[in-house]
Amino acid sequence: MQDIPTQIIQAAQAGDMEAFRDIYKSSSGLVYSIAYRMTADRDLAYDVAQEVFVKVFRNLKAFEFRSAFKTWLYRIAVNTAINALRRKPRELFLEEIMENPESDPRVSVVDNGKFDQQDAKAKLDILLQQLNPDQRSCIILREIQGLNYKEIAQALKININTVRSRLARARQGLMNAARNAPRAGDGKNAF
Amino acid sequence: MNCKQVEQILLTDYLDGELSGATRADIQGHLRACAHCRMFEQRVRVGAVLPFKGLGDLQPPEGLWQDIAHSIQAEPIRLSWVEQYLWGPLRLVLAHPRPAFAAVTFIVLVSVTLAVMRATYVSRANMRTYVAEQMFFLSNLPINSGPFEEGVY
Repeated sequence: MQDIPTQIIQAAQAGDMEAFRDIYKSSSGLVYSIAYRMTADRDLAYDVAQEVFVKVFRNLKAFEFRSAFKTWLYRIAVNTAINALRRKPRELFLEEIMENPESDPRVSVVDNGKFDQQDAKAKLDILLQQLNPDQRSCIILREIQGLNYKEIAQALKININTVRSRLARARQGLMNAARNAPRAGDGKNAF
Repeated sequence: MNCKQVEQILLTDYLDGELSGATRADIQGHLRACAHCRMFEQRVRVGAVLPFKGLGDLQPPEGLWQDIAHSIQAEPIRLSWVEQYLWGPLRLVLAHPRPAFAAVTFIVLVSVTLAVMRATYVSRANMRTYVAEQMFFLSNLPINSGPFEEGVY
């Protein structure tokens, strides 16, 4: 995401829709990516992204430039996604896909129901769903958005040691999931 | 530092570049000497770090902006109690500081004047009551009476 000039944010704060659209253009990819990686559901991610920008518009006047705009945006995006997941529990998501891979458009399937090796990104999304939302948000901000620990702590309003422990547990979870995942060629699926 | 402590650091600060130079050197020294921890580091990299490399932001679907703009325009702006009753008038005052200062000064002066006048009126009324009582007392004194007798008055 490009840095958004202060003048654009101030114009949007005054109700200028064109300025707000500039903010949308600069940050919609980031917001939609977070929403999708958090939910692994295109429809839900669309709703979350929409809700995020409506919240941003409604609360823009309260933004006082004490933190970076991007940090504020990360916080709204992650919290909105977590709330959406709470409203729509998806604990069975992974099991549903494993049992019926054809039902999920993100997973391309070759013969014997094995996942296509080339569809690594889709598999990664499935792996991410093995983590709880708090761990997932930390991994997304660290690995995909490239934030350091201090920035993650600010964005999620948590202690920096909480960032560490969530990342450690998330990585342990990902390693276990990757190790336990069935491999292609032995009748199982590989990540 | 034992292997368990090293594993915890490998899972986080070491791979994320959050370590100071000295601690990083300690960990690297441990890795050179410990095959178990070297293997663990490789497993973390392969299983939990490398899969994310090269993942960029996704393109939002078409129509998202239209839906956002529609939602914003359809929903009336809801002001909080503070915004409605406090922040609005306060913002008006801040926008016009001189007239606001003049108005506040006028209100204070009028209030002080009224308070002083009321206090004066109250003390005059008390004085009138006191004088009336004394007049009543004096008018009821017996005429041509002798010296005051103890216990009479």
